[in-house]
Amino acid sequence: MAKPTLAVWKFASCDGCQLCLLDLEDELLDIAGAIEIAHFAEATTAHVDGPYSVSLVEGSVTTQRELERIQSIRQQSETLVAIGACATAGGIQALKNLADVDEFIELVYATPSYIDSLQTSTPISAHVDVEIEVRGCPVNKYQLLELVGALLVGRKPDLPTYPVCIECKARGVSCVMVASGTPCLGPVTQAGCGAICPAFDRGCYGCFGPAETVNMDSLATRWRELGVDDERLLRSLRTFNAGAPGFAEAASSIETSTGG
Amino acid sequence: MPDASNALIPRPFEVVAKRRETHDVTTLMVEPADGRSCFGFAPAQIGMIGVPGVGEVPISFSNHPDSRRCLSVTIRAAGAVTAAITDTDVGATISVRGPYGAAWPIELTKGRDVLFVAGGLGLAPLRSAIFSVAEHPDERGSVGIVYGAKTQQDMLFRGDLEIWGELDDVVVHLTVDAGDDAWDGEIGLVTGLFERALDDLRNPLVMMCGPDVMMINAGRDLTGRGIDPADIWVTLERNMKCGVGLCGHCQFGPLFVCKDGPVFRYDRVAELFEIREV
Amino acid sequence: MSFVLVRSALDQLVQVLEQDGYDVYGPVVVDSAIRYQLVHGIDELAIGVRDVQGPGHYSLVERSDDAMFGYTVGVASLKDLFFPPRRAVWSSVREGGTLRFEPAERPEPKIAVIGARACELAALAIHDTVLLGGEYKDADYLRRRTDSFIVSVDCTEPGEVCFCGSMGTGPAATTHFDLAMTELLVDGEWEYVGRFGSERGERILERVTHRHPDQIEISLVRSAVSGASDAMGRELSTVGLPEFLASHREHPAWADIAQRCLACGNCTQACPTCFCVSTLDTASLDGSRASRELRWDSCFSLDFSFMGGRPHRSTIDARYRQWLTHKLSGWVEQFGTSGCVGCGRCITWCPVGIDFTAEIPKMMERVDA
Repeated sequence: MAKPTLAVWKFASCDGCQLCLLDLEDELLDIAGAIEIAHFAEATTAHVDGPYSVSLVEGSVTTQRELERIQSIRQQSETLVAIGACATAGGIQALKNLADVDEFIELVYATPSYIDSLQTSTPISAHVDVEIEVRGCPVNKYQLLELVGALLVGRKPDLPTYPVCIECKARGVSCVMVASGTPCLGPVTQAGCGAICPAFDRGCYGCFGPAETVNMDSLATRWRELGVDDERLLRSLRTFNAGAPGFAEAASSIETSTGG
Repeated sequence: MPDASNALIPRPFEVVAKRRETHDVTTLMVEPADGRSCFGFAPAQIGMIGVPGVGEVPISFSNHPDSRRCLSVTIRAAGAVTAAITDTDVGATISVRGPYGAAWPIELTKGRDVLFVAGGLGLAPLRSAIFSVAEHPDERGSVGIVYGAKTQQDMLFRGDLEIWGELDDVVVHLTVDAGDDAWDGEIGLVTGLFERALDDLRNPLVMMCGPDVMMINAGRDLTGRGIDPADIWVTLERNMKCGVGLCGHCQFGPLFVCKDGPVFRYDRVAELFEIREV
Repeated sequence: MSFVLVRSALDQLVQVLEQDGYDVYGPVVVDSAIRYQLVHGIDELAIGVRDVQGPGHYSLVERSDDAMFGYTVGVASLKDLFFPPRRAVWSSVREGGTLRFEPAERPEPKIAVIGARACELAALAIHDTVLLGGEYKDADYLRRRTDSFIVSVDCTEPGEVCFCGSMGTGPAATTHFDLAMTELLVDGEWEYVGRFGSERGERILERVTHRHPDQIEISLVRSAVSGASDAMGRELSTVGLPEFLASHREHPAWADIAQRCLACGNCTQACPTCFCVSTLDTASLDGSRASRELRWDSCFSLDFSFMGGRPHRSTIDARYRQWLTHKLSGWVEQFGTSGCVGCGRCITWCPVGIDFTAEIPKMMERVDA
């Protein structure tokens, strides 16, 4: 039986998620033995034409060309997996969805006419069917490994949608919000990172995007009690996953309620 | 009997035959592959069936209790685990633990009329009970079998339904949600068949299995027709990870579906049925 | 049947347990909170600190004395030792057409705990019932519990969120210990006035320097414990509570609490009795080897009730109701006791400070009104 083929594609992104895949040094050899890597620009210039068993797509859609390219990748892929905050929520660059892009371009670029950009940064799922989303900015490399392993045996990958708190407690971290009064997005953020930030006594800043249940009204009340103003609250929701529905709705609700 | 000291360790079972029941439902017949003997089961008892590395799901055994085959499981390929199980080739092995839970009260059918009510895949947990009761006409009264499925093509065990219909004092009533040209029978909910089914039966014992919403409506309907709630038995399905009361997932109010059920007397669960997301 | 140890004798106790092959765990300050950690001597313990707990709040402050057990309860309970968050169940190998399952072996040594609280022992008793008392046993839990050695220390200064008095589980340990002690300051010296809970406890103590208590010491213990009973920070009336909750599954209070509840599951993870687990299978890339592990789960997660393609409990109020009604009502029917031991962890570690000892009386009032 032919080995399944894996292709890794880049859209508007920083390449950090692809690097996470490369960072699986020890495990990559096993992976490479079990599958054929057909396209992975960060790793190799070799390219095998489709169709592909699995496509991992990093990055968001921000140009006309990307709009067309994602359709072509979808057509060639049996399973399409969006990896990282850009591909699953539009990424940091989705902040432009809230602003006047032409104004940005005027400010930033010497020759704005060279810039061909859409008005929005959108997740892959806004354009094509996506079978699986792996969250994070960047993704957790062990979740990528889990994904590939699960796809190979036909298992549903273990990509829990519950909040970071569950991982935090399992890791034996004392809640930073309760024990140190540190504002933390953990209760509304999807697990998968292994609760890295709380483990280093930092509040979670939501890079894995909204959890399955987001009660931001309640968490915001607590944050305000801890001395957080609404500007900071808004900024916390509008960072890596500003375009993710759970965070976007919570942010506009805060904006509306404060008249901001 | 399963090893009570380490109930979570499964046994390997070989798939010895497979039968396609509908486009997405398959019956697998399995035999022990560890040199140990088969285990028996009582109708409606469940096994935890799995594919190592993929997962495990609760399934009630569907074979004739006197079958020469060890065990049969009838499974709809609905998720990764059920797909992996139904995709297992004949000759390959799957994992099996069990049998767990409470069985249908077959002993209560002695000398009584019996009504079986099934919806969709719910006929599978009833199949062994129907055989046990229907094939012994001298030990029971009249039997009604009411079965509803989405379409005729979604009906399970069509051969069995025909065989049962030909037994003495057994009447099979079928209905579908959506008919087509090839279907000249009833269209509608199972409750629409109750009046006719109950015409032949006197004070029947009822055994019922189907989706929650079907059992809620059927329970209300049957008790409304004067059937004593204590004469109605239902079997429930809930998320289960262990099957033996240790994982907590299958709780239904104060009940563990795995060990207190899956078969419950209706009056024990009727109130809980009415509560949203209980 | 009682004894007195001076503080230095506790070090001997740790050594004797280590000689007998135990890993000894005791309360230690880790990341500004108290947790059970592997220790080799008593100087590692949380000496001279007190915890200040409240709804959604926990902090440690310095004591004016150097009491060794001068706090109420730590972040994590004995659950983390006997029922850890992730546990291997089995591994399997496919070889030449055969499939074989091997139970997971546990390589760790026997567990001893110093400083367990009465409420934690009550929780241990509950876990023994839930995990070992039925027809089917949790084999891994059984292995960890077998030959475990528990030294409990009675609470003499309950905290603001404590209500063991209401639940009948403390402040003094009555069950499931090998040795139980009360920490007392007598004439400027720390003394540990103790009692035996098992023959094993007696045998271990024979190897530790001790003496018999005098009448004054015994009466000091009595007044310290009864003083603690009178100083509980919270109370919960349990009379008729299981029946009330079972018959009020439809009550507007659930939706009100759901306004604040984050469904984050912290209460379930911090609770010393919550035992729900899910399973996770993994396999080698070629599929020949697989293994299963058990992981703490939470009835607050959507996946917990997943059935027929969707979560059965989609709303936060249904999930909160499931947790609380199970804990305080269904549990009684299932296992003969409440699932709550009054330790207060669910109140303290709730990020938004939901406190069911306050919510339940409000709920009952609304029904009466």
